[in-house]
Amino acid sequence: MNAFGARDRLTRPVVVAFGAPPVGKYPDDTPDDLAERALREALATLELPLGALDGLYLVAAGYARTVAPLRPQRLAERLGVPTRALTEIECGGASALLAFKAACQDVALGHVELAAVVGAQAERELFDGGIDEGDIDRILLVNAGFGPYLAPLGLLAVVPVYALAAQRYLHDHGIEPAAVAELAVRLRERAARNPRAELRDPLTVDDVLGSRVVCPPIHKLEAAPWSDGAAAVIVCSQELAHERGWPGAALTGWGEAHDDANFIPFGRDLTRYPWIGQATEDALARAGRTRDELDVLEIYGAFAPAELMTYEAMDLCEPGGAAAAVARGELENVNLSGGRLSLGHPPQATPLLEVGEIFEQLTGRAGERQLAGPQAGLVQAEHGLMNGAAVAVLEASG
Amino acid sequence: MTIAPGKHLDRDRDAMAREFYRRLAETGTAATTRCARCGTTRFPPRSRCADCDAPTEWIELPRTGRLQAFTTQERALRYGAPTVLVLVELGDAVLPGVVDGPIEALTIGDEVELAAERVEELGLSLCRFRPAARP
Repeated sequence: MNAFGARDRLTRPVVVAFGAPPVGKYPDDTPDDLAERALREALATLELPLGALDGLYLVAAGYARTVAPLRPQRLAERLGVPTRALTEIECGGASALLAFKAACQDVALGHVELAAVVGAQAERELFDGGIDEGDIDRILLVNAGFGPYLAPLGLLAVVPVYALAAQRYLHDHGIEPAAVAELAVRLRERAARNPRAELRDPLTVDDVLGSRVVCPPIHKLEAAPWSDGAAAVIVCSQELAHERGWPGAALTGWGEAHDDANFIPFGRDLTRYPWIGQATEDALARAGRTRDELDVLEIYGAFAPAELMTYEAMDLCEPGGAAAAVARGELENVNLSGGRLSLGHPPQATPLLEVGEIFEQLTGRAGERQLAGPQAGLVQAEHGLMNGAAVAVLEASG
Repeated sequence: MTIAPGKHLDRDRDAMAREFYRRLAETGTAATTRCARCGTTRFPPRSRCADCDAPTEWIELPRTGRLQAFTTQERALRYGAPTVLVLVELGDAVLPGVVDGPIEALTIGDEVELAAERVEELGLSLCRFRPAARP
């Protein structure tokens, strides 16, 4: 069974390399600078030159950058890489996982032999130092993305949208703020073992609850930093990976589901995200796997309450039960990277950082975070207010 | 912040959104569409029902409703804290808007009343709500 259908002539795509500079602040770099760095790092692990690539799958360069059309061709020119497939994908926070899907599809079809998927973002300075009128074009672009009913209310960030859902979630299930803060503390503990993570100093629940309330009920330390960063993943056919002796992570299952609503699923239960559940079900069914067979998971979770709701949407625990499950020390194999809250969150690269974490786990390269012989992993990404989701199941190969 | 944007939204506003805002400005009432065949009401308004492809009809929503959720915006072009961003259940639809703070005075489920507010820099009226008179 192939991830894209039961046709024998399709080949199975395998992740064979990953590269990413540490997540953090890169005020002097453009997204393309960071993209090139990640791509060279990934190819170096295979001892291959850029020219070995024949497919380049990019993610839009960020949210607040005004970028001229045909950036993929400009990046190809900069790198000096002619290809047989060249594209850029944009669908909010899920973009990089959807670009990964496009690469896997081309490899599965035999259209491309060695595909690179690259996502990069470097626009932190826009949000770090306040906003001045020189930024007006970019500010208006970000605002317009919220569409005709939310943009006029002045939105410039997704935090308030997630805060609306979080407030309702805490209210409906009677969840105490400290229980949400506990997740941030545990993610920080995991990040301490990840050299790529932006935030690695230990945290306490009091630190989290004492941090600024960004949008009630979300505290600053319950929100992912708007990081700079990049990640590149190299995908080839299972046959080529075997031939070259490259261990990898094979894509065995894929699922995605998208609500029609932009950001807020108006009129729906703000604590339930069936799109995440549907994408998970489809990916697991296509992989022939159950949740219990997953050894390691990377979940998007841009805000602590959202991450808890995602656990529930994926049926990893019962509705309203995620915080208690975290407190009991369950779900310890989720977001070993430190998650978005502590690994850091450059959204246009994030899903590839997640794929990279699972790749490193499945190939024994996760350093201090390494689990004992994991065989199956899962990556989840989302856009909007979690009302669009993509899920990939990856399994050890070779 | 003193940036006064609005026109940037015009070119992307579709006919249904323009009609929503025209009605809000002229009648002070929020409206959305209902499928003429299956009767499903959805917000945002759409010209045809996605499920049965039948044309829709405009319906006026009640002017009072209940708070589904609320928060404040730390950074915004307008309506930053202490103004409260809300989702309000109005009949069969949920709409976004704002209500005067302080946020501490509000509870999920509170009854609120629509009082459309003209925002000159946008050339639009928006959904501002105020707490309904308590019985």
